Amino acid sequence: MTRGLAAIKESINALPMEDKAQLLEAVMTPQMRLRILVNQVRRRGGGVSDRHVDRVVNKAVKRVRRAAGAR
Amino acid sequence: MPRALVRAVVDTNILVRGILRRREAAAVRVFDSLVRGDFQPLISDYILSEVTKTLQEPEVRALRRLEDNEIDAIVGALRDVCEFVPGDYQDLEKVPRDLKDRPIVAAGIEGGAHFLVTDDRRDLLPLKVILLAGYRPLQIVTPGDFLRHLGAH
Repeated sequence: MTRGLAAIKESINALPMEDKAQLLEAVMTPQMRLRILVNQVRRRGGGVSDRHVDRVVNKAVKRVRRAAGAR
Repeated sequence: MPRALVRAVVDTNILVRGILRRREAAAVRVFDSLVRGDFQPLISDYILSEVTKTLQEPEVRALRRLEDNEIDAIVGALRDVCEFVPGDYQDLEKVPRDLKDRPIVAAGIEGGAHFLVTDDRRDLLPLKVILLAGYRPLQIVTPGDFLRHLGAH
C-alpha cells in the first residue's frame, strides 16, 4: 500500500460511524446498495416460511392490479 | 468482442418474491442475477409502482417488518440498477387478453427485451412469444426457463 493510500485508510478509520456510513453510501454502486438492502430485509421475520411469502405476495400483487384496474 | 447482455423484463411478483424470500428459489436466483448484472433488466414506472404498492400492502410489510424508508430505498436502487423504459407502447389490443398485463408486455416490447420473466400461467405464459412488426420477438418464460437460458448464454 502506498503512503498516500495508507493515509486515506487511516483518515477513514478515524471517521465517526455516521460519516463512514455516508461515505460508503456515496461510493456504493446501485447494485451494491440493492444487495445490501435486500440481504438486510431477507434476514428478518425468522418464523415466516418462503411458501407463505409466495402466497402473501401473489395475493397482494393481484389486489394491487385489481385496484389499478378499478380506477 | 463483448457479448451483448440478454435483455429482460421481470414481472412484479417475481421481483417482490426475489426481494423477500430467503431460501434458494427461481425467483430469488432471478433477482440475484439481476443484482449481479448477469442480464440487462428493464423496468417501467408501472412496474416500479406495482412493486412499491405490493411492498406497502400491510400483509407484505408484516412478512419482513418493512418500513417506508426501506421500501423507498429498495425501489430507488432497483430503478437505478435497471434500464428505464417508459412502457407506454399502446398497440397491444390483441395481446395479452388481460388488460392488467399489457403494461408489463409494453415495457418488454418497447425496451427490445428478449424475455419477459413471469409465472403467470393463466394469461402470459400461454402466449409463449409476442411477435410485432418492427420489434424484437418477446419470449415469455418462467423464472426457471430464464435461468436455464442465462446459464447457456
